[in-house]
Amino acid sequence: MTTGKDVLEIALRNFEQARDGKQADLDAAEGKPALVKAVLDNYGAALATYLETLADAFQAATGNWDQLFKDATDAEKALTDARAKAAAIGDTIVAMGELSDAVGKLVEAVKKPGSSAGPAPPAPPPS
Amino acid sequence: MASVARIASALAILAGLGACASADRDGARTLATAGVTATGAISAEVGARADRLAAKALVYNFDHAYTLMRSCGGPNDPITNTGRGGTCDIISTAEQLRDDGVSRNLARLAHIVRLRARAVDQLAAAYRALAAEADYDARGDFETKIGQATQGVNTLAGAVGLGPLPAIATTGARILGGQLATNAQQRRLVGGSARLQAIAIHLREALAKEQVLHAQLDAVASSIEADGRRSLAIAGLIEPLPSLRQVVTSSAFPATDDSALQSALGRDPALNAAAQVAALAARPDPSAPALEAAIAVLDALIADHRDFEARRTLSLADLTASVARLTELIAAAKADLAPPAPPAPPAPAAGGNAP
Repeated sequence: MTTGKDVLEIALRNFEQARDGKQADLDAAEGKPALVKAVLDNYGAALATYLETLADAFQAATGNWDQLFKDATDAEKALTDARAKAAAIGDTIVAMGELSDAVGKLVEAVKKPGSSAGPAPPAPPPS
Repeated sequence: MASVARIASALAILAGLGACASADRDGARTLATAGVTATGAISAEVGARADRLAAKALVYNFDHAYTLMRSCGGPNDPITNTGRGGTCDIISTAEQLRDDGVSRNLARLAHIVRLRARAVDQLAAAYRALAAEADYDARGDFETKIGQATQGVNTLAGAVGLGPLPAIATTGARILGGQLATNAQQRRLVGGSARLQAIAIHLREALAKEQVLHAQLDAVASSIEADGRRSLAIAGLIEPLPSLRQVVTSSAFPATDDSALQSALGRDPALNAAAQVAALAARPDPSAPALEAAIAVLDALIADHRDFEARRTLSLADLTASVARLTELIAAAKADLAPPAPPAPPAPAAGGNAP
């Protein structure tokens, strides 16, 4: 069975052969542009195949990096949310305090003489 | 991606923090700053790697076209600019190279490598969230809020005839609440550190696993670079002065100024040729040390996490040194990409010490 590593090695060997033979082939083709172009295209094809195989090998590990990105995103959110939640607990306590304050003020208002909200205070005793 | 200048300023902050207390807010702030600095340096390294790859397409295209066009120019194969095909047509050659496998795959590789930087940048964002947690004064915030709530409770208690809460109860509630908030924050900081440490370990493994691939990629990039330099040499564009200057500098001889070197190059063709040979024969620095340095940065960061979570004093020495080393390597690699610096202005005439 051919593994990704084997494919990479074959592509590398092909590229190295093309690279090592390139100059001799160019020398042989000197003055004939069509031949020079063929030599260059042949070298380019071997280089392109090798680069593509390398890119495939990197691509194969991309899932790993996507997971890293996701983990880091989740960690950032968890840290931010936990801090917001902690601050919200304090806000709840303040809200309860404000509610107590409002209820207290309401009770005071009810107790005040002449308040329409509460019973009339007893009439002062005649002097 | 972080720039070298930004990393340098982060390093200065890190140096200023020094060794901090264990799992308290100061320790967490130091750890978070270390994390932001480390990930910034690694992101810059990965980004520089992608830039170098992308730049190689230009070098390859130039070398291919120059080698081809040097064989053109005869009566049967004039260099043309019509776009109507033909071996020696500038436009047709450019169109072929733009769509060929080398350019396409170099661009693809640069893109894939940049995606790695995206994950590292996101880890930097997570470290900034840890820094925000460390900056948050949970105790102070809680105590203030309990103080505010007590006023409201006192109003109610007064209204129903109970009278205000005794001072000792108010103070006790504030201290207890503050301590609870501190404990909860410490748990959040240690938990956050453990989570980020696991990601840093994962990142280290991912980088180490790809080291061999990066080395292969560096080798092929160097090969393209060597072809480009060869073509430049054939075109007579290799500047002999820098390599000659380097030879003189690395020898034990007294420094010679550039004008003396230039005149020696002008009168001695053999010296000129030797300097060009030295320039061409120089192998570009492999970027493998930069990857190793990035892994060393992560090792130091992971060790700092362990110290923080074990409530030990953080030692930033290893992290600072490894980030400095990585930054140095990135700057050197960037200098290879950048155009050469203009020649230095002539040295002032001798005749006195600077004030």
